[in-house]
Amino acid sequence: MFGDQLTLSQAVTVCLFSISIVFLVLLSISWLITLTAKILNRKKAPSPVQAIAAAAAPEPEPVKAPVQDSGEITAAITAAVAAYLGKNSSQFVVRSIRPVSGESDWSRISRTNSLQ
Amino acid sequence: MLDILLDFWNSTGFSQIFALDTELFGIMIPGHLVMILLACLFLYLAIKKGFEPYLLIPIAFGMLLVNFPFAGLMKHAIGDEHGGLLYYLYQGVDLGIYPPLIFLCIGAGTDFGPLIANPKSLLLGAAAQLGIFVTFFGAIFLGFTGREAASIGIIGGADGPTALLLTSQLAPHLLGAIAIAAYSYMALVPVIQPPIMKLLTTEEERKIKMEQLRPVSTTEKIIFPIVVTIFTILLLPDAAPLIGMLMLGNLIKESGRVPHLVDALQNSLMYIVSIFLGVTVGAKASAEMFLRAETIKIIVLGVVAFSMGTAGGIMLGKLMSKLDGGKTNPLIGAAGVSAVPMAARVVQKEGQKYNPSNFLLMHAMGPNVAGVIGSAVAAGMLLLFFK
Repeated sequence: MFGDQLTLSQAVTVCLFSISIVFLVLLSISWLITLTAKILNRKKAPSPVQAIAAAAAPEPEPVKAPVQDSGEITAAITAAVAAYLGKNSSQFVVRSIRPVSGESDWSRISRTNSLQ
Repeated sequence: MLDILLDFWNSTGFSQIFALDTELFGIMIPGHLVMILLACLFLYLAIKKGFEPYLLIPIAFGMLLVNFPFAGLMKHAIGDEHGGLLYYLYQGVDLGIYPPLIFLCIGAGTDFGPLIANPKSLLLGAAAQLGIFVTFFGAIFLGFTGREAASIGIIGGADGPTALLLTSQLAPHLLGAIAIAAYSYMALVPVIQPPIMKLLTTEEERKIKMEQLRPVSTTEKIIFPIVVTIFTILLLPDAAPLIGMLMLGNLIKESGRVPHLVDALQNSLMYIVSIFLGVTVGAKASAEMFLRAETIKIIVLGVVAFSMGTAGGIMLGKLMSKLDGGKTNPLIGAAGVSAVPMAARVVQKEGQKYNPSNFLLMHAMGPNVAGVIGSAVAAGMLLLFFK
């Protein structure tokens, strides 16, 4: 379309036109993705009759997981702490073990390590 | 006897290696020797320092092989006389075959899930292509022709195969310098990007924690490559080789029906094509083509391209963050320059430096793979203008 020797105004035209098309193409792809997701979700959405039936069904009693006081879990966590701190397990005492809500430092460190 | 010895000596490369046969900045230098030493330096960087070793080892060795006097590995076939080995292998670059094959393999190894989950990240991939066009303009200003400037600008796409395809079509005489600049800067992403990230963002912005991405269904992942192929190639036929192969590779992966093909693409074919591509691209870096003032300009323009691309992505990231009330961490914009997955890893590392509980990797993978599509589209535009 253009010859080998470009004037500065032609270069500006190429730059502006090209970056606009790049944006247009990628913006259109993002709309296509959104559209696809909407169409698929509409197909998946339950019909009103099914929704009412589901609401009327008695909810099962939530089953509480029994609190396990297994010595194995305590031993495994104690060993992991000892390995991480580089200390002997007799040098510290594990007083309580509580699950952490949200992401814990342990899972974050393990994910970071697996990335490296 | 002396004549035989003399003839033998003259037929060896040793007789020519110290010949002052290349002019650089008005000084005559032993070009072959300089290039052999340069090739050894690149081999050192690849093997000892681990700079993109999968590509830099074949590239550097190709440079080494082509610079031996009389070896004639890149000799053209004339009449009944056969050409050199690397000349025939180079046809895969010259005819634009290897780079799309690499894209096929990349497609089979790419998960577009993070992009589908957050379609806005496509815009970050577009903004990061700014580097291509700023550098194109800079190259024109420095006196390069339109075709050369387009090939230099595409370094800013931070995508090796795209840069090689465009350069092989528009300015094959610059292939060696552009390949080395592109792959060197891709290896240097962890050095180039963090200072730009720090310069353009505030500490509060770098600390922004992003919400978890929604899960993406297999159906969406299968539809994505088909829709992108149909739309993009209809709009921009020049982008067909790269986008077509990238999306074919991705569909093969996401279909879930042909695991053996996925394995072949991700491993065997990827490595086979990489060797041929690397060694033949390196072989374009002969003394007379590489030891020029233009090479230094290309190296400088290359780093400008990378930096501007990074800046473009971050600036749009900042704008998005302002518009959505601080939900977007602007750092993920830096991953919009392709360089998959290195750029996304850099974002993850930098984000965690300022907020240890931040996990930006998957958010950065969106703009990162969008950057691959963006640079292929930009290459298609430049081919349209200058082919």
